[in-house]
Amino acid sequence: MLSSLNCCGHLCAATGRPAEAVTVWAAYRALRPRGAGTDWPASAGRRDQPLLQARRALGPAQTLAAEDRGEAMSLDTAAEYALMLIASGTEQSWAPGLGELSARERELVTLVAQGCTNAQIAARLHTSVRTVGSQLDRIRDKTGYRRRADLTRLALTAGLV
Amino acid sequence: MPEQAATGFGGLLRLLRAEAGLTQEELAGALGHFTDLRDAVAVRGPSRALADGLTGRATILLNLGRAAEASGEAQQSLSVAREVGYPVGEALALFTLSRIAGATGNPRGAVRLARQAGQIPAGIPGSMARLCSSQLIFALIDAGDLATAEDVCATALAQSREAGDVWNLAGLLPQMVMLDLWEGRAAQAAACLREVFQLAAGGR
Repeated sequence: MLSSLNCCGHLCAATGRPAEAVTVWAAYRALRPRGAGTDWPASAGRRDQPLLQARRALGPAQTLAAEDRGEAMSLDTAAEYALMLIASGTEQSWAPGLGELSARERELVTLVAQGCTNAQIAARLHTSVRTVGSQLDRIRDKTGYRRRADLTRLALTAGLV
Repeated sequence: MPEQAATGFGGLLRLLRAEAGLTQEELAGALGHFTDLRDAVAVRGPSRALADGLTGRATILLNLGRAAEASGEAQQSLSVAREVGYPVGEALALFTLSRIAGATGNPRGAVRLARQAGQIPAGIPGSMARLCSSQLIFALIDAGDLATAEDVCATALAQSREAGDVWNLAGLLPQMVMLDLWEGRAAQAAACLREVFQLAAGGR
């Protein structure tokens, strides 16, 4: 999975999406175990040049924002993000349905996208697991997105994570 | 109990599957495991278990950046495997030596060793041969021979699909993604990459 994130960074760089490349590579670097040995393709060396070009294209502020975004992603979130990037241009684009969501509901969607379980969300928001479940049901009804992966994509598309 | 399960061969395969995600602490723990195995069986003389223990140690030492020590262990493993007539152990030792050669800036040596590993004729399961192909692709890429790398990768991918060999498929597809990208085939790269993520999602 991690080497695939690295490949996704290369794909974005090769297809003129520098912000996405920097974001995915930041997620990849953050998610690799510290001191892990294997890094491919041969690997940091081959990544350096396209990463440098992507950073140049973005400028310092946007690079920092993209890196912050990538570093904050869980593995599941990064995988969903990568799938979105791979699909973009070849599949129907997503129609974000955030407009009807309250600030609280957006916060829930963000936490789902960050990989939190209902119990973790409940603890973070100082509420019960049952309340979280019913709030998520309401969000699903409003957006039409049933799976957590769909909500993660929604959050990614809207830039919530 | 079959000898493979009793000797640490299973542990070696698990190590090869997981090594990219292991932390320094976990690698240190695994090194202890294979050191214990090596020490326990070494007193009985050359054996399959000793070859596995040595290759396990070599793999971990390589991941810890101790390539010179890794090379010594893998060379010894190769000698033991040849002495006791253990083709799988011989292939794994050559596979490991190829990785060490690649990691120490000897891409041509890495290609030669990976080819040798894939040419061990008898007693090698298909999945092991495809693992050796995967290493050969790495080595060919590092040596700059992308055309041959692509041929080897396409063949190994086809064999993996036919055999339902998900483990090697998950390793080979990212290699094909990069080969496609370097040849300017972004759409094919995207298709391969989508397959990798679908495989990963299926495995979780």
